Amino acid sequence: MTCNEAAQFVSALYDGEVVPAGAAEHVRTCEGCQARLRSYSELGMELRRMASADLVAEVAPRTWNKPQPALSSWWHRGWQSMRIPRLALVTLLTIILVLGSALAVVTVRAHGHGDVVMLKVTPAPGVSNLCALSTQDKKWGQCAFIGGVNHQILSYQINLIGKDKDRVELGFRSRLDPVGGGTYTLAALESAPERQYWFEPGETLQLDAPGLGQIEVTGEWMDHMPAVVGTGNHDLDPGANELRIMLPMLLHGKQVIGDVEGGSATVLKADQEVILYMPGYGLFHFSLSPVAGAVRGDVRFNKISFESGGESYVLVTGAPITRSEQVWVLREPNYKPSPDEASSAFIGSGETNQATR
Amino acid sequence: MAGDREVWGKMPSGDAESFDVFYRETAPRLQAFLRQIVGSREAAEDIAHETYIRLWTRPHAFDPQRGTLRAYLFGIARKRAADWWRTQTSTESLDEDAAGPCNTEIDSAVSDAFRRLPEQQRTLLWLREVEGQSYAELSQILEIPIGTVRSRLFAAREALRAVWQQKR
Repeated sequence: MTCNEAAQFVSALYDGEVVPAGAAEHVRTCEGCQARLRSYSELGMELRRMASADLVAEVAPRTWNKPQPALSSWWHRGWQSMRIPRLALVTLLTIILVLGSALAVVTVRAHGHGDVVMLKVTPAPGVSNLCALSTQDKKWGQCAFIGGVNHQILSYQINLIGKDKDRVELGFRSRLDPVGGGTYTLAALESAPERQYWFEPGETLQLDAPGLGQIEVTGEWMDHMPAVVGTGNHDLDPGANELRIMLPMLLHGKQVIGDVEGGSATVLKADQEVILYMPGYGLFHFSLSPVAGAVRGDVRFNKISFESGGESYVLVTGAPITRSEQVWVLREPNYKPSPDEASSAFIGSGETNQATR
Repeated sequence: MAGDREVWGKMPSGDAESFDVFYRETAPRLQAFLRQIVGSREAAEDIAHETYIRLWTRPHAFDPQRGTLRAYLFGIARKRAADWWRTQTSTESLDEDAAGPCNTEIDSAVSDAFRRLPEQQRTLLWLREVEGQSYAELSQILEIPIGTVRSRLFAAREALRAVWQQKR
């Protein structure tokens, strides 16, 4: 081994690293390498002396106020309420928190804010979700997803941390769960570590998702917050067998009994269903296929009208629901979620399976 | 001195007292590091402050399985310093003196040679030689593979040594 070949190992040796035997032997007998080692030592010592002399004894006192939630109370409520019961979720399709409710979109447009980055997140081939993040309005600075990917349940959350010229800094948390009994909750993501990434729209970013591998993200800048953000179909016209319940509000007679702000669920197969829990009213199942015990609901554009227990209900959503003129609605008035879920409305989706009810 | 995990574990509940202890223990070294990187005492203090605010308000962004809290702290600071440099170069051109450490009473050949190194090499050398960060921690802070840490450290030392020997 020559001195040049051994030079890099001198640096590693100086740092206490183990080096190849050939390099170690060369350094032992090479005066030039030992001189290099001594000079590294001298330089290192001088740098530490510089640092010691430059160290200030005291730093300016600071006040640390208790961190405030970055989310508005509105969003937080919506976030907490997004829970997806595990029915017989073999291929749970998609659950999206859509940060673009009709009400909020009006707000954003009224402000006239642009600077929205639209991310296309691809956890697996053929599975893509859209995520719109505003650099102007923190209320629209986060999005999340729970859905089936590679026969497991992937949950992730993306936060927009900051913007620097044409790029944005993103915080990403993810979690992978096996399909099974119980409840999936986005709150579980809070314990997952957040990783930060800089992303420039137009480029491709790979996010690390433990257990899954890498998730590809592409994106583009937009000048407005889109009214509809979610998976796949952004057409006003729903796809075949699509049942899309976006930002639902349930009326009992003329009284609003529940409003799932910011939450949406979509299924794309006739044997799947969307479920909606309203505290005090139980669990409602909506499907395109007849289900034992279900009643027919009439669909008109973004409304489903149905009766249960002799009472009239209307589900109003933020977008056309389905191509069909009817859906099947099964109500479980006595459904009891876990105690910590009982006070919040939630929405979810899964396969229709009476055995699990 | 409180352990990383202990400090970190108390942050989400807003335990300002233990975080302040952590701040007072670590800030002098962080500021010294930043002074070497950005070359301005005022900018170093600002960046350090932003760094602690970031840690305080977003404690969950730290993953204890990926390294120590101190390494994470220096990683945030390094990124902030890089951002600071971007804004400086886009709005004004700095002369060579401004890029070097400021207000230091040290005027040795080594400090002069160190001042002449690129920011990336100054960062790496300082974190290794002064802060004693391991290769694994440097890999975490700089977001580069350990093999790259090794080769860049060698390159940085050689660069420093070359300038230093010229000035002797």
